[in-house]
Amino acid sequence: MIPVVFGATLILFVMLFALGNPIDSIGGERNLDRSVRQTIIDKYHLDDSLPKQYISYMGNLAKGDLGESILQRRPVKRILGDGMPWSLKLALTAIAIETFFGIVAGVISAVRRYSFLDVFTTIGTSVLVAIPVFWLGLMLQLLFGVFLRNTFIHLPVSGVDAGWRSFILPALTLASVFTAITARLTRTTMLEVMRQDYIRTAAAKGLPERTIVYKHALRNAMIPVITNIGLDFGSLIGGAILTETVFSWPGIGRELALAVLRKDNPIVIGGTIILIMAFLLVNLLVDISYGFLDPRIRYD
Amino acid sequence: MAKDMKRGATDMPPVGAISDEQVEDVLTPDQQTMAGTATAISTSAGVPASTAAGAEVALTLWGDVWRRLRKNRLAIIGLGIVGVLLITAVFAPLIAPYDTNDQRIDVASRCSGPCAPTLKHWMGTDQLGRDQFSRIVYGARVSVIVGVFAVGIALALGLALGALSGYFGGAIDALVMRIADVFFAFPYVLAAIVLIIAIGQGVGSIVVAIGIFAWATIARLLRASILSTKETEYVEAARALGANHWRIITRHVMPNSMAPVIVYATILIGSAILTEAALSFLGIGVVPPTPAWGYMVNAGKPFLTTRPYMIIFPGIAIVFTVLGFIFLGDGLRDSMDPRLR
Repeated sequence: MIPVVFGATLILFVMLFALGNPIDSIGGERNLDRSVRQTIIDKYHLDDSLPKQYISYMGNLAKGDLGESILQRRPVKRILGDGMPWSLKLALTAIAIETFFGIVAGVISAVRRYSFLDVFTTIGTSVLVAIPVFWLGLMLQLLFGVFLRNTFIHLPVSGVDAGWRSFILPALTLASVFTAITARLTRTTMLEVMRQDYIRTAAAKGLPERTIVYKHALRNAMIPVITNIGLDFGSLIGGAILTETVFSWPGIGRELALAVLRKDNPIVIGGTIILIMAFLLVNLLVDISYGFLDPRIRYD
Repeated sequence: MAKDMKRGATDMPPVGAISDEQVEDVLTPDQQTMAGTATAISTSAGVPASTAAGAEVALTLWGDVWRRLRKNRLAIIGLGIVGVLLITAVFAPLIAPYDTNDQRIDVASRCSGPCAPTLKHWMGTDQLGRDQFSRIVYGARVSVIVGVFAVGIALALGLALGALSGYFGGAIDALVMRIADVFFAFPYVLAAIVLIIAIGQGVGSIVVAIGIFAWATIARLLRASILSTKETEYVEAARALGANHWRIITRHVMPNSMAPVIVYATILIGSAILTEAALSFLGIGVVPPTPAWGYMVNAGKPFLTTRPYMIIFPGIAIVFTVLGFIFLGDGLRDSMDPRLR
């Protein structure tokens, strides 16, 4: 975890400070005032050697100092802090949807292998993975916001003003790809587990299918699925940037996308660092949770 | 049939994650000679690889793969879609009825913006009076370029580092895998955003970003696959015959460890195309006026309620393209490793 954090920040540093012109990177290629340039040079010690620059950059990071937005004239930390709760709520709703529907679809698919439902799930999951997140969002807006606007199933298509109803379309959009991936993975691992001897033993004992599937098979099939939810958190971040942009969701992702367009780069850099840290943290939590899920796994 | 076998044999070394009894089927005669197994020497010593494989039935893995792939309906659909995409990209000037940057102010002002589909412009025109169908046809080029070059870079890095890591193990392995962990922590979209800030917007930045951040998964897959391949008897035999590391890696280990990588790379082409579309949609991908599907969806956003087809058509192009690579990749996996079915 720690080496990865250092590595990731090093890569960010190399891309921003060594590859490009850091003043342009931070200033967004604007014609900056001499005093502003000097402030940037002083803050990031740009007149020092690269290793020294890296140390001061890490120092700022350790202090939680992510710089100040060029356009909003506010600390980046504050801007991202405002967006964080909304991003978290959306991401957690999406993860709940993805886990529930993905596992249910995967289990049905595996238990009723080669049935109509299985074929339908297999093709459906491929299609879901292939649909761009932003396009799915726009299509849902078109369906629920335009075509169905005069019916009772009309749903809000942007912002967060309509309470839980605001969450439905963005959360479904964000969850789409991962529901598909979870379903496929659950199917594969379930099929694997169902071939095991202890499942045959359970069946031979005369246990009902329901008990075998849910108590014996599903529990053991869950480990790779849960690992994957952690690994996919990275793609979830990419998806969140697009979903939040399409639905005008006041989270970190939209803030980041807007900042890229406006070349307000301190927000982009700060946001990227925060999101990568979040990714690493989630994977650490997943690693720790193995021990609880599967007592056979022990760390020495 | 025999022709298919032959093509499989000559185009590429045979590959696959294979069980012991399959090993013999999979090796080209050349490799079998190298491996020094008695049967190989007696059946094919001195015969050039391609002709021998062509003459015998189902001797190569690629022949086997193709035979199984042909029976997989979804894989054939995927292959068809990929074929159409490539033809569209190569022959775009012949297929597109209009110039992609031919702005028709008269058309745009007649419709006060984008026009609905007509017989002349059957996907309509955009807010500048440009023919949407022609732009979608040319958009295939950006997708193909991004898919091929991004995955090419990722394969070059991933195969080299994965092979080193898996074959030599030890300190090299530990180092490469720790570096892979770091690159693994960057979602493609974020990596591309940072690189775009640093070196500027454009197809090049997207290709490089996906390429240098996607190698980690390829390296991991290859490493895992090599770990089992390098313990096989034919590698041991090659070592016993005094083959050097380079020859063992390139002739014996790599060809037989490639199956998971080929499957992943196929699907990765689809992911790369999706990532490019996403960045172009955000307005930080390809630079206008180059036609790209994601950018077209972005341009249609203000007209969602009045002219939804501006978004629908390029979106369908993306979905079908990516779906083609997914179907093909899934089909390849089922054909290369029947145990997974």
